[in-house]
Amino acid sequence: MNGILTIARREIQSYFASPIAYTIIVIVLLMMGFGFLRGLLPYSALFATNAAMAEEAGINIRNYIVREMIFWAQIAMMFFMPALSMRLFSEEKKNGTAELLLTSPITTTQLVLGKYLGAVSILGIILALCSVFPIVLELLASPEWVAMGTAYLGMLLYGMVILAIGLFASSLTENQIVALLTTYAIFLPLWLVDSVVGFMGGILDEILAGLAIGKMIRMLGQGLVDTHHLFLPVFLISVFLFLCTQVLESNRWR
Amino acid sequence: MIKVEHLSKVYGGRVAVWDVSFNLEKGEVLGFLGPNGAGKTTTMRMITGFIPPSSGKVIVAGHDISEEPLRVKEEIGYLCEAPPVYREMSVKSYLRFVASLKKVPRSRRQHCLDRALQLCGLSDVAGRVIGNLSKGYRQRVGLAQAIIHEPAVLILDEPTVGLDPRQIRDIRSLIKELSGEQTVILSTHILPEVTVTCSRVIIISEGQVVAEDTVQGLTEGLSRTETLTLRVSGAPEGFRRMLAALDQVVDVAVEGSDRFQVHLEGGDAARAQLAAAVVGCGAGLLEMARTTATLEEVFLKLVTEEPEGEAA
Repeated sequence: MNGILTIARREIQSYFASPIAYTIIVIVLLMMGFGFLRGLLPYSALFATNAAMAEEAGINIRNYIVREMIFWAQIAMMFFMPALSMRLFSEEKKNGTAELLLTSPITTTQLVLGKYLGAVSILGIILALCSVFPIVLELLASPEWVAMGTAYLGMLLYGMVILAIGLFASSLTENQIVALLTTYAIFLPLWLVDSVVGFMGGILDEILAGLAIGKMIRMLGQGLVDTHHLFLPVFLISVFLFLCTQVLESNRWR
Repeated sequence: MIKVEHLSKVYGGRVAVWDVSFNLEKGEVLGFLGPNGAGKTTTMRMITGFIPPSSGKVIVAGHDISEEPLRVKEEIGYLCEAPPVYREMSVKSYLRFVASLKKVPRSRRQHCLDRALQLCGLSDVAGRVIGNLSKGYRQRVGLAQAIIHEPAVLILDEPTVGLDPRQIRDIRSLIKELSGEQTVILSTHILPEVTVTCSRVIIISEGQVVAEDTVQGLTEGLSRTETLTLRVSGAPEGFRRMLAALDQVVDVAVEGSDRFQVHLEGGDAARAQLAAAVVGCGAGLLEMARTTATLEEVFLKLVTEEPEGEAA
């Protein structure tokens, strides 16, 4: 455990030693804030003109504002979380510091978990900062806090999946750009698969539906918690972290 | 302390290291000498557990690297070819990180940090960012990183490469200071380094050990006859013949009016007799210098030798 924390702490330090973390935090917050406003402004306009009609039409904070915010959070994280993870192992390989880590008394699993924890902490900071959005809502109206909580859980899991894929991609190469593109190449299909579900039929359809990460976050955003939607991200994260340890181990054998 | 048995590493079809064995007692300094690409780094990486061997065994402080890698790694301080530093960190925070990575207990960390800073002469730059330091300082940070947890074994891959002469001298004296308590393996292709710092030498070429001995044994064993350059004043008639008549003298060549090259065998006693003979015949002995085969010659001889000549 100590080994994991040591690695994670250094990782966080190094994120903030360069503009990477600041830039990514700002961009993701901007995009999520944009999504929030895109939902909030029409919503409040609607309620200002005719509250009764809006309510009758079933328009509420959850399906109007949160949905918009979640959509933009997905876009922002899809493009910028890989930028956070691309350096994790690539840089170590390039600088020769991998040699220090792999000759130190920690296991490969501890190393991978430490790196992952470091990157997830940055994601945690982003989500903590954007908790201002629900606080703003609380001042204006009364959001459903449970649904808001599951929405944040969805965003956290969604970001964690991308980071796990990114960490794995970064273990494959010492070129950060290659790691970045590999992450996109793995994650985009997972995200896009959502829109083709229902057209294939049969077992294929079920597999695709099972992998649809976009649906997972949408459902959680609406406060609908389903064991499958919790299982999918946990499964993906474990698979990619495991693959990552395997890549690091096999690199040594070559 | 370190026991290496029949260590081999094969990459695909290419043999990088073949059947390397040696034994190192506590406090010894082993020089690992060989041209570039001879397999020095690969051997060291196998000892540190960075890469697993294709076959063979490494036992450090009683632990087998393949069975208890973490125990072995705790005992080893390793400086790889390029110092493994994070350029964006300050010297102090980097060394703190390494100390905790190497499982130095929290209560001892400050002490270990101060000791490493002081030994490597880094106290003045402790707060500076590593990326802004000169190459020599960065190398020292690499060395500090290797010694911070007071490991029983120190493995240094070309520790003085790219340093200026003063820094080289500092690092060598540091290695000497550490030896005794710590067992050191040091690789280099710079020969004087071995003569200065090491108690034993292994010469490796194309992945195989071609010679293993003490520095002295290696230079002497390969040159049983030694060559002395004599400079004398007022050499009498027949001086050359007189020298050639001495028992141990093999051959005398005249180089100038006052310079002679004498080949002789028999070591110290023979040299004393030669000096006595020169003085005894009334000549002034101005200079008597030995030109033994230096390690350099031995090295070149060994690594350029044809395989069938290995018996020599």
